[in-house]
Amino acid sequence: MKHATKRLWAGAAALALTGAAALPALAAPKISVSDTNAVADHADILSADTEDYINSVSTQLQEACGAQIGVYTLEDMIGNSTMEGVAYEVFNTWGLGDAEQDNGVLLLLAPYEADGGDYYIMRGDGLESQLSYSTLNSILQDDLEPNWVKGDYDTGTQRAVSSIANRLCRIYGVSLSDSSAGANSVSYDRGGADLMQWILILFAVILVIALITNLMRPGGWGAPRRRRRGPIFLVMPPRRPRRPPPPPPPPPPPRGGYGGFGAPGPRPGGSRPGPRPGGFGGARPSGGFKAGGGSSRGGGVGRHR
Amino acid sequence: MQLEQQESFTIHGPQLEILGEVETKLPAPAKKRPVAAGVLALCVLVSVFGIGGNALKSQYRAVCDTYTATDKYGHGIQQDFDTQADAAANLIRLCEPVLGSDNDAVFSANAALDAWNTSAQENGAQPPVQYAANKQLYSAVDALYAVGSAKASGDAKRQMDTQYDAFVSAQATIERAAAAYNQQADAYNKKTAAFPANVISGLWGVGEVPSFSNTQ
Repeated sequence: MKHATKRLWAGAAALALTGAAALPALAAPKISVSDTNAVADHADILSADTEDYINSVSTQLQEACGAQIGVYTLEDMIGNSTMEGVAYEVFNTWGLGDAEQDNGVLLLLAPYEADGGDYYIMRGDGLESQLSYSTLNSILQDDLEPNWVKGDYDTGTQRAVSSIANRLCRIYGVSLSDSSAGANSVSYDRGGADLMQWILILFAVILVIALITNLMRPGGWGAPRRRRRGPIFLVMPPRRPRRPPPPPPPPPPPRGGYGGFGAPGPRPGGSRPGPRPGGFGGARPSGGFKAGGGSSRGGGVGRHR
Repeated sequence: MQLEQQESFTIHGPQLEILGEVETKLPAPAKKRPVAAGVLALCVLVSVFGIGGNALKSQYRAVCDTYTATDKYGHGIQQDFDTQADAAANLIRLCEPVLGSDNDAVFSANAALDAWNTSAQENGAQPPVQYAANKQLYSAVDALYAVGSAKASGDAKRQMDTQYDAFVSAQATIERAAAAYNQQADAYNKKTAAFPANVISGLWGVGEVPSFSNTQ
């Protein structure tokens, strides 16, 4: 009897715990953003390259005209809310765009929503009369939707962000290559990442072939080369005695780190979010992304099926 | 412990001297204590009903003004209503060739838009009146879009989508701003419901602040 009662209480406790654990999944999504990162990929649908690209574009825009683009992905359904409502909360919690100009743009992605997922784009107060609904709709329909239906979130997001950035550059009369970052600008080239990767692979292959060739030479690596006896008219100069190898160069002075988004050290702009791969696009702009404190009244454009 | 001797004392001060001089120049009836008490009571009434009433009226105006105020970009509830009415009109014109002008949804949307325009001309920015007209317009245009976008395709559908986005976006910002206005209105109305604010507000002709809601 005692054991049965104990089992009953244990079962009830387990049920209560399960119920309690289930409750948070039914609530509206909690918002978590970092003011030094232009991407909050909670759904984990974007690659590191895409995140690098968005951060790079947003940082350059920020330095050129104060505008910022943020991408937020939801790891769950939106619950008892609307895409507009969630976007409003995310935008104003994040503070995208310059505080005086309110020129931020948020791209909210909800891949786990019903009927193939959902997305929403919202702009700051200062862009309401400059970034029309028609423009936003075109960007979503032309750049994001065709890739969204294929599940290619990276391409769709990069294209949408690129189009938004182009529009913002036109509005403010700036060009990302003309930003204060100067020569450290990054331009989005759809084939750029692939081309760079192929070049690197080619170099690696050439290096490996050269290594193998040297190892296969009789005597192995470092064996002296046989002097060729050339034709009579080609007289080889006498071999010079070998000089001793040069001393190793002194170690470089300690630096704050190469580029990166918000690298630590004397650079302004906040802390580095974490180690990142090399990515594409060459040198990164200085300063790093830092949410500007902009706001939005709400409203925007969502997915039309 | 009791004082063995009652000591008399006088208070000296330049302000008292001035008051003393004024008192000497008053007519004899005014120097009496009941008259002074009466003057004091009058001063209290003037401060409570006069200054307090003026302050209450200022608060009333400040709350009412938020309903028609604009931000630094020129955006506000009334401007959003205009944007919404424009989007509604555009959407109706886009849906008419697709659904036909005798379609029920088109007819209802037209009627709701006419009602909105008429109410705006006759009543101006009256929160409860605009609330009712807005609800009717939103319901009609939402139904129209559902029917129209299902039948349209290509560019026509894209245009409908754009106008509908503008319409619902305006609705979202209106509701948000109106909720903030309603909060202020409720706080003011609660304050003026208690005594003596209810008497003062009545004397000054400042009643309840109307809220953006269904008053029926």
